[in-house]
Amino acid sequence: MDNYKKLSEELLKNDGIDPANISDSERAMFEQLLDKHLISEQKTVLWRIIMKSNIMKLAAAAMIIIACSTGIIFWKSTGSGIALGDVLTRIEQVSGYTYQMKTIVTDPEQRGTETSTATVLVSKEGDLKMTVTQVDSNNFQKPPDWQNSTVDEEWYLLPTSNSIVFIFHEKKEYSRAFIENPKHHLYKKQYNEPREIIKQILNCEHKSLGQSVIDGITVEGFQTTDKAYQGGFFGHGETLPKKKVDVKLWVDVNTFLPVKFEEDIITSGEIEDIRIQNFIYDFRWNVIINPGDFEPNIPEDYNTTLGGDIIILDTNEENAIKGFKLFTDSFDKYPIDIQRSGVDYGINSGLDPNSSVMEQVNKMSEEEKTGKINELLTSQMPTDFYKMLVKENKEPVYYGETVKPDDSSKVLLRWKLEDDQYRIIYGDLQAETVTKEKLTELEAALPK
Amino acid sequence: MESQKQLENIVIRCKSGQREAFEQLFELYQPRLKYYVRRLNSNSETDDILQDIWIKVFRKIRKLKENSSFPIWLYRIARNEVFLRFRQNEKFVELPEETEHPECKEDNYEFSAEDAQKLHNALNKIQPYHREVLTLSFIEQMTYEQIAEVIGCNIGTVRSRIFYAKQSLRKEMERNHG
Repeated sequence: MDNYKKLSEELLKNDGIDPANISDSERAMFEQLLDKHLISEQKTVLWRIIMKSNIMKLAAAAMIIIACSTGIIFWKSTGSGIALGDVLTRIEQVSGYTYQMKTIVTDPEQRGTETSTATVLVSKEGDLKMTVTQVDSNNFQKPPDWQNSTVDEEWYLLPTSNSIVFIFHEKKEYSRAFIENPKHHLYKKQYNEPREIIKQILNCEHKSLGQSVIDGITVEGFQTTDKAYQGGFFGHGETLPKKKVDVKLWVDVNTFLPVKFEEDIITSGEIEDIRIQNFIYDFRWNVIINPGDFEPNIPEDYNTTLGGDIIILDTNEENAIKGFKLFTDSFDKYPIDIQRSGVDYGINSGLDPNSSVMEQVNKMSEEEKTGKINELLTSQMPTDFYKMLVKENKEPVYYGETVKPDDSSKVLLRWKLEDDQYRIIYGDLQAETVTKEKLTELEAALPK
Repeated sequence: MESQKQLENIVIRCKSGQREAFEQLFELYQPRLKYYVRRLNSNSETDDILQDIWIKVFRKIRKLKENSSFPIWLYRIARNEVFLRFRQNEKFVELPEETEHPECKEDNYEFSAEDAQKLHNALNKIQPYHREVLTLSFIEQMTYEQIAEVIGCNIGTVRSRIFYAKQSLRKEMERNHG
C-alpha cells in the first residue's frame, strides 16, 4: 500500500498537481463558496428547528419578535446532547461578550502561587481586551523571564488592527507589537478565549460529562485530558511538554453558550513542573461594545518595556531575504546552519548564549532595545522560512556554508514550487524561478 | 492520508457546520479529486465541476449516514457531476458492459512509482471507463467493493473492467516506451 501511495503522489505530480499543496486561486474559490454556504446555513438552521413542530410554529412568531428586540436568538436543545461544533457556531453569532477569569500559577519549586483575576471583553470580530483587577502573590517565586501580574494590567489582542498591546499601569510601562500577518498564530492562541478553547477541545480526544446544574442552569459538561491540548496562554502551553491536562467546559443546554470553564495544566521541561489553573465564569453575552473599548489608551508619560514598537514579520521569502541581508551586512557571511540563523546572529552580535536574551536586552538603553529586538526577530526569519518550507514538503536545500554574499550565480537557498519549477535565492539575494534542468546545472557548479 | 478515525472526526465536525473542518476536508481531497475529474473530462471544465462538487458536499454532508464512507460518497458526487455535464454537452457515451473474464479473479500486476510518468501518459490514451476505475484504484487505493459503490455496478463488473483496463494500459505503455 505504501508503494501505491507513492504512485498516487507521482501521478498527481505528473499532472502538475501538488499532492500536498493547493493553489491560492483554488483556495480562494473554496473560501468564497464556504462563506456563502455557512451564511445561508446559519439562516436556515434556526428556521428548521423552529418549524419542526406545529406547536412551535405558533411560538415562533413571538420568539422572533423577542429575539429581534433583545438581539438574542434562542436555540432549543434537541435533547440528544450538545455538539461542541454547534456551541462554536452559536458563540460566533453573538455580537460581543465578557467573562471573568481567575488564573492560579504555581511556581516551579511548588513553594507559592500567584492568583490573578481579570475581566475579559471580546468583540464579534475577535478583538480581545483583558484587564487584571486583582493579584495575590502568596510566596510566589517567579521563574526566569516571567513577569509578575500587576493590578490594572491591560492586554489587547487586536487582529483587526494587526497589533498586540500590553499596558502595565502600576509600572507605567507598555509594550506594543505590530503583526504583518493577521492570521498569525499569536492571535489564535488568545488568552483562553472560549472559541479557541472549543476548537482545541474538538481537536483532542474528549468526552461528555453528561448533564448537571450550575447556579440553577442545566448544563452539559465536556472534558479532555489529551496532552495534545494547547493551553490558551500563548507561547506557554503549546511549546512545553505537558505532564497533566484536565480541561472541562460546561454549556447551557438551552442557549448552547458556555457557562463555566476550568483548565488545569502542568508543564514540564525547561521550566520544571509549573502548574497553571484557569477558571472562566460569569459570562455575559451580547454586550454593547463602545467605540473606544478596544483602543489602547497609553498615557504619554509611560515608557516602553521593549524600547519601542516591535514588528512581528510574516514568514515569507521577502522577509527571509531581509534576514539574510541583516546577517551579511553585519558579518559579511551567511549563517552556516540556517536553522540557527537567529541564534548565531545573537551570539555574533555579542549576546551571551548562556544568559537570558531578554535580561541582556533589558540592560540596554531604550533606543538600543527596540533596535536589538527587531534585529533578532528579523535574523530569525531565514530559520522560520526554512522550517515552513520543510513543513510544506517543498524540499528546501541551503548552501550558506559555501556560498558568499554577492555570489550572483550561486544558489544560496532553493525549494520546490511544482514538479518542474524551483525557486532560488542566489548569493546576491536575487530570487528567480527556474526549471529543474536549470537548477541541476546551477547546483552542479557549486563548490563542494 | 489521515487515519480513518481522524477522517470521521473531520466529517462529524463538518456536519456541525465547523468551518475549519470543511477546510481540512478540502486540503485532504482537492488534489486527488482534481486528478480524478481531469481523467474523466477535458481540463477546461475541471474547475467548474470541482466547484459544483464542493457545493454539493456542503449541502448534503449532514445527510451522510456512515461517516467512514465519506470517500465513496464524495467520488459518487464527483462522478455524477462529471456525467451530468457530459450529458448536457452530449459528450458522454454509455459504457459497454463487459463480461467477467475467467482470468479476472486474480490480478497481480502492480504499477510502481517508477512507472508513474509512463502510466500517467498512457492513462490519458485509454478509454474513459477504463481510466476511471484505474484512477480510483491508483489514486484513492479503493477496493473493488468501494469502486463498485462509486460507479454503481457489481463487483464482478469492476473486476473485469480493471482487468481489461490494465491490459489496455500496459499495451499503451509498451507501445510508447518499448
